[in-house]
Amino acid sequence: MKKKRGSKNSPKIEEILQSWDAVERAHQPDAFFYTKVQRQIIASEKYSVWQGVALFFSKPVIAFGFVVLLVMINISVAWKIGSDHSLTDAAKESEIEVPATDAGVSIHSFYDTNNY
Amino acid sequence: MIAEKELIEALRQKNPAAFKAIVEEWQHIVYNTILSIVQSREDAQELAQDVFVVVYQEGGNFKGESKFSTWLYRIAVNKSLEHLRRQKRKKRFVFVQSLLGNGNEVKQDPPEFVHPGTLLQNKEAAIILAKAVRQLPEKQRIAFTLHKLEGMSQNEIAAVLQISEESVSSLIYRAKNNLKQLLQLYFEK
Repeated sequence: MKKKRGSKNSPKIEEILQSWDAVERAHQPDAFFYTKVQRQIIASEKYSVWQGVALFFSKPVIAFGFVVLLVMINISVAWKIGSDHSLTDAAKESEIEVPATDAGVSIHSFYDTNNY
Repeated sequence: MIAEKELIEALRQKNPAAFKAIVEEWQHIVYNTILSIVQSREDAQELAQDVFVVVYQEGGNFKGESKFSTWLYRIAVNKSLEHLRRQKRKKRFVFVQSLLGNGNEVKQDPPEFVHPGTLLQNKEAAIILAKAVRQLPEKQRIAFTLHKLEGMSQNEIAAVLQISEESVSSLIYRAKNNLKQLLQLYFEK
């Protein structure tokens, strides 16, 4: 132990030994104590995959969030398929009508006139 | 308060409502006991949680041969002892590392511990006593703390530590003598 300054005025040894006598169990663990215990129990238990999944979805908020996520994914996939479809259509249309060059001569007519 | 028989049955069945009632009824006692032994609020909080996890998991094995409170105190004391031993090992490891020049410097003493239930006028004396108690051998430390802070009788301490009453009496006697010597040295320096 470190040296204490002014030890001449310090309380006597007997007084120190009695200083723990009047101690009360005044302090409480924090308000979330039971929740923390529950979490530890869940973490320490071994669940099967399906038990784990069931436990995961047993919370309404998580289940609702997951449904919302599924709907969002569904909408975005549908949107993507729709936009891909319209692009394909446009590509097909462009193949039917071959555009002319700036000079107004198509590539085919250029080759024809130059005897290639 | 839950009757012992109902309590044993509830623990065997792992009844969540009964378990919650047990935690709420005993949490402050378990927490304060551990706090007195380990002298750190954060560690006491974590160890108290561990105690109730053990109660939940091992509750089915509790046959009611001893009082529930004795069984609970035993788990709390064992958890505290494990923690103290872990801390000692850690200290030794850090010390060896510092000798080899690999680690940081040896950690200083833990911060001053003031039990939250200490009276204001006893605060200074209680801090000095806490420091001295930390230097006692672990069994003396446990016996003295349970006797002084928890107000347990020698009979109850004997049941918790699973030793005879004479051994408890001897432990407390030696703890007091050692504390007197430590405090004497403290004031002589």
